Amino acid sequence: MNLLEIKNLKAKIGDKEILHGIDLTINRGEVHAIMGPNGSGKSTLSYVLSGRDGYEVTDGEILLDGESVLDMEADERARAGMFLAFQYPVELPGVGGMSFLRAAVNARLREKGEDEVDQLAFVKMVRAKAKALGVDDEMLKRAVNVGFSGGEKKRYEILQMALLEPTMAVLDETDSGLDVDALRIVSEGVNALRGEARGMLVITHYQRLLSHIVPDYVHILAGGRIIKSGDKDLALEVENNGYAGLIDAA
Amino acid sequence: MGATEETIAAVEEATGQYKYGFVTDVETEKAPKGLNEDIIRFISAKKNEPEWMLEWRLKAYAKWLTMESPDWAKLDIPEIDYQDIYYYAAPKSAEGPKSLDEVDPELLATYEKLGIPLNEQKMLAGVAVDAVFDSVSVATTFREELAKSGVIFCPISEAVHSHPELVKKYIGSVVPVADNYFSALNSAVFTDGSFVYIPKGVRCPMELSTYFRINEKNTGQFERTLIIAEDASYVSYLEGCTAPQRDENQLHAAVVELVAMEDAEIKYSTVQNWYPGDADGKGGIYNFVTKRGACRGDRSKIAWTQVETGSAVTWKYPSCILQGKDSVGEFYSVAVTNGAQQADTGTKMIHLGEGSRSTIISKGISAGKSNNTYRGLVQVMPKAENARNFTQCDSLLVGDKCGAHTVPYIVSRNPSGKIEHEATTSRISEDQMFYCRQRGLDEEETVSLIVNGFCREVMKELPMEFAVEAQKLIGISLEGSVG
Amino acid sequence: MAMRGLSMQPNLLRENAALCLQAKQEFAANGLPAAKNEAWIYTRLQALTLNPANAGEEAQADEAGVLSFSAGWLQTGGDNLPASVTLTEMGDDAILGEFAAHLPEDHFLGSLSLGHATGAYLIEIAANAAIETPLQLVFEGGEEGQSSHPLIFIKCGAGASCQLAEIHSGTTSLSAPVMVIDAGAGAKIDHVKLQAEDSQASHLALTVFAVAQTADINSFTAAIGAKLGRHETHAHLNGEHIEMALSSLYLGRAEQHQDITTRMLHHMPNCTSNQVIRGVLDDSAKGVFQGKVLVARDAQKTDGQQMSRALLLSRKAEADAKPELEIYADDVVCSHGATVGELDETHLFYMMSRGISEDDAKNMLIQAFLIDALEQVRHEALADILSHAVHDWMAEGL
Repeated sequence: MNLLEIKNLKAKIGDKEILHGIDLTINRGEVHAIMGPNGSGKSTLSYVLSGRDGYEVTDGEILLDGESVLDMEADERARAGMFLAFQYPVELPGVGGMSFLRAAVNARLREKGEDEVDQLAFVKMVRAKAKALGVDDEMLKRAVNVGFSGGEKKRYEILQMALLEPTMAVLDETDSGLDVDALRIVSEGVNALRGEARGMLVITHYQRLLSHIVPDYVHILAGGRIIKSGDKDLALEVENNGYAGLIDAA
Repeated sequence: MGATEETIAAVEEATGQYKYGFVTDVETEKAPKGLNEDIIRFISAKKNEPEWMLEWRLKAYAKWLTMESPDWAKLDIPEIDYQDIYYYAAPKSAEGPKSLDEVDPELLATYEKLGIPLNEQKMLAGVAVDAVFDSVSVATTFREELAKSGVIFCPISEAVHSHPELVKKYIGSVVPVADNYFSALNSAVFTDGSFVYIPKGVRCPMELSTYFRINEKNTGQFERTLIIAEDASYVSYLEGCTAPQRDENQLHAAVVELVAMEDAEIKYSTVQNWYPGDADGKGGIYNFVTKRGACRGDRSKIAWTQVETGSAVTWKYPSCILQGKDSVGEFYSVAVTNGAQQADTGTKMIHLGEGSRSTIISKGISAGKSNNTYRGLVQVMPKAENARNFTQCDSLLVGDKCGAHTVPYIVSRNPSGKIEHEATTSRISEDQMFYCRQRGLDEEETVSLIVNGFCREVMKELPMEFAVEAQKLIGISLEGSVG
Repeated sequence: MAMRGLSMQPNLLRENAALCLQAKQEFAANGLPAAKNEAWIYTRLQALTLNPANAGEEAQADEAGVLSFSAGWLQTGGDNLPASVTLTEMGDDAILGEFAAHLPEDHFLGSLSLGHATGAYLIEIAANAAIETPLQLVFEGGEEGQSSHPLIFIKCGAGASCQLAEIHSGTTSLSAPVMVIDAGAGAKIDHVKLQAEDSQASHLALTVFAVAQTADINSFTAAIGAKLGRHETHAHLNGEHIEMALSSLYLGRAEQHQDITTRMLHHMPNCTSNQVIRGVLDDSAKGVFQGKVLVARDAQKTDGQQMSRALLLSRKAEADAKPELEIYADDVVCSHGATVGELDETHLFYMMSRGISEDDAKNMLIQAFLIDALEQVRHEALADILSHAVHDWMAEGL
């Protein structure tokens, strides 16, 4: 069965239709990239997939493991295995990082009918995964995303992905605001999570992320439609020629 | 860490909004309904009080008759019929001082059900409890243990007999009888409460706590608490409160007086969970409380921490009179209102002494159709050279039918004093909500998590044993506020 | 344009208009605000001089745009006003009813001056008019033992823009102007008020702004004179997308008592209000700031800000503040802040270590503190009026 199937997806914000019919299928083990210029609907797609309020699906279907997610709330989708790494992670003042992470992990475990993880084991688990991503203990003690630099926030997103072990991960502009070193660390983190268990959808404006996280498929999103699909070479074509030529051709 | 998850678990487990709403079936002795001199004589006689105490009560009653119920707070309260209340109700079995083995098993079971086992073996280690049931104290634990270090912890009705000189000297010395309408009423009819005395240089070896329970119908609870900390002593005291679920309103009008001498420190924490009434505002406790501490000695310190989740109406302003040089007053408050609850709470910091400092951190959370008001006074008197105050009041609105209000009063009469006040009002942002839900937390978990984060600065001031309990309470209080 | 219907010896409103007679009764029945009255806890009124003046002689027209009042009565004919501005005397008529309807109900200051009215005038600014010259309302004259109670109704038409300066420097014992400024949709009003009354006078003013959608109001009050001053402003934001700035400064010396009271009433969504308040108090002066920001249930997306700071220069000075938020809508950004203190020791020391004398350093710091507030005034000519007055006040202290 396909992991994620998007069929003729149309969505609007308020009265404005942003996505005009998107078709995309992702299987386990695959990494797809969506590239597109500003305003093409990239972030809208990530929010529609994850179920943000205010983004209304007017037509089409989103199936995760063969089940429609359209009637599911954001948290239900998350517990079903959908993960969104935010372009702008949100600050939660006063909410301790460990409490937050454990609440999220336990919610997912409960959904799967597995035992919740106890505090001690959890701390160990987080520390081990955090270390690989360069997230230090000091950061884990702070409130979620509060006072984090741009790079720290992104690493924290990937740490959450590592802990939650989603089946379908959507990474929205994960490279934005990262310098070269941070980009490398984050990409390594993402690559470590690639595998047969999950699919990934990497949303980006620039090719540079895709030289670190090499996709199996690349799709160009423009004007709310996928105008071209190909393999990783398509990303290089964009890098060399820009979006304009592709859009004109479409 | 960890406590948040427990909050969430508690939210899920709890089926009813208020889980302390049961009634204990015990045989009760009551004074006739209503208030007059005879009732006061009855109460005084019941407690076998000396003449001076009775006179003090009668004077207070005479004063009360001349006073008017306050109407300035932002509260909407139907008129209270003071003649339709029982001023004295006591379980029959509770007459006379008891050792723990003699306490009515029914009462022990009640406290057990409330999560306060009075059996010393079962209790939280290091916490001594005075259990007040309606108008009387039914048990006080660890008294012998405390006595070893010279600490007196007993019902105030007993202290009137055993330590009359202390009671006489301090009662009404911080909250004068005529301070306000409810303090006068309390002075006339108070029935029980806790008395704490920490001798010079003693650090109280355990947390002291009083657990107040209103059980009887149509009964008011009028407790009186007096805590005296002599030079260089320290005590941490906590009170908790619950009451059965009833359709009519019940009155709780307490007076708490604290006295801190030179270098003494009193930490007074409250987890208030009186029955709040139903979602439409039927029933619930009227919680009209006067709490005040006097920092009499130099470098003395009084810290009030309160978590207010219960009561239909709350009207309380735990205050500090900062008389001593370099004395310190602190007020940390979380007030959660949901349903039709009304809370008007805050503090008064009166700076009299040179170098006195005060900190006020108030977190108000309004949900449902409730109204939540912070009302506080910071006053710097002419002699309070270099006094300092910092106040931070934050309000969080959950839903669009509630109200959040901030009313600080600032009076500064010394140029070297420095007063800073900040207040903000916000709600849980849509971004925060979505972020948490994307991680798999449902709406109520998210609200509970963010609200607990919002309160964190205050919660960390609670003694550890109670912080977890308080976090759970906040989660439960907000149940049904979303969706 | 000449004022219509002006008679210099009119039938006195206070003796004829039903509204005024009713207000007078109300005033007599309620008396002075009681000690328990929350709105007056910091300002206690003693006996007031209530002896409303009668109209005086007509004077020569002033320079363009200036209307001179003496003891509450307009002295000039209004010939010097721009064409799109109309001046009318309010009689016992519908317009007086409209004016009174804008006043808060059962309000001490409202009934005080409605019940003892001196002159009553309507100033209308035509829709879409762009008035380039500031209109100056100059209140002066009068005698000790008299009181003045001008009622001023300013209606600024939709889309119009104007600048208003109110200058009070009378010698009457009590000056109690009541002003209603009705701003039409999209109107842009710059308003300053300078209260520089005689040192024995009492000034008890009520100003009401009734603001329609998309209007842009910038109002600033400087309370400098009088022995006892109370300036109370109510701003009703009655439409969406209003920008309202309502700022003030108060200065006190000797035994002066300055009270700034504001009520910012957000009735509708998507409005922004901002208040910056600064006070400097010397000798035994007392300063009061009470400011409420109310956000009604429907007023979502309100941005309401308020910041008050008071500087105490003497051991006997007192500053009281009661900033207040009353909020019933959840999607709002509201905050207030209040501080009271003296000049920063480290700032003083830094300046003195550079060779500046203590007095000069203090003055520079006080000036900086006040300029911060005056910068809220965006219209230059209006700002000049206030900064001169502040400058004079500073100079007097040296």
